Amino acid sequence: MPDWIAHLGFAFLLAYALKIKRKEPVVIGALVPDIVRVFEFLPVFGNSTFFAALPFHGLLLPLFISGIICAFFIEGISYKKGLALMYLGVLTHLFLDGLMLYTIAGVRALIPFSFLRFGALNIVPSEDFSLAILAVIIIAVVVIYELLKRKQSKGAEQIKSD
Amino acid sequence: MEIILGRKTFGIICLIIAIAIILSSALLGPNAQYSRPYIPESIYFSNLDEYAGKEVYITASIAQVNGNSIAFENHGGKRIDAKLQNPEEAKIGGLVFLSITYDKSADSFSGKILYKYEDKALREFISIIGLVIFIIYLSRVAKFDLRRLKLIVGGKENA
Repeated sequence: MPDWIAHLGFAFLLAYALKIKRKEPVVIGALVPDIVRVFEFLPVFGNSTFFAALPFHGLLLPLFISGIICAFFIEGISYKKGLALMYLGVLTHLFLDGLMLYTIAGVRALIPFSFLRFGALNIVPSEDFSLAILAVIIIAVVVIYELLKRKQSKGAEQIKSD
Repeated sequence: MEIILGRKTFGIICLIIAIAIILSSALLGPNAQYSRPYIPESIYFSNLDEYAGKEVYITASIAQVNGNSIAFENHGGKRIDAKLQNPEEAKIGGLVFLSITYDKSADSFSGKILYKYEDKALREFISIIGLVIFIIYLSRVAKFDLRRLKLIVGGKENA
């Protein structure tokens, strides 16, 4: 996988480009397929752990994981909209992981119906941190720009009300 | 009659389906046809005969370099010796992506380093900077209710 910050940055920028007002579900969705990393150090079931972890990088399981997160951990947005935005984030993650070369797990889109790896896009070396550097720089620029714009519009509103 | 399902009901349905997918993958996976050479290393090293003569990709850290022969440890901590085509790329302690082939008649491994992973410390440093920027952004637009463990989307803007 690319660095998780690259996933975050790509999802954030896509949401920004698509002019999505609520970007939070998109960026959180971009981390959903890697949620399994929390349990990475628990190889309690031997080889089965590897296969249990694979569907997190499929199309189906992240949809239901997003459904769980939207239901229990997110408020302030309708369920359908929240789920759609989170799944958009998931798709950005799978797209970036599909670019990866030299990785063993990869994207297995049709799990549990097929365990075949989708590797058509193998172009970027796995864990290449140049993507992460690029993502951090672009996020920093966009966030600073957004915050400055927000501050400016707040200032203008205050002057109007005065 | 229209059945209206609540947010939590949807969540519980999703949870049940998610558990079913994880369990079915864990049970069906070892018997499924998955794409080679991207196979779990633990299987490769426990069924050497099955993969004899086939090229397999693995991630490993190099434990010892001796001429064109290296010793590496895979993720499972198993130590293997292999003859490399490009030993000059090997560095003790380095994490590499290798392509190796098991020769059954000679009971030995031969292979090639395909990729050297970059410095982990630098990557983590970059990630931390990114995390700080992201937290600043989230704290400006959303609200996190720690007591109920909920993220309130657009909470700060609505307040």
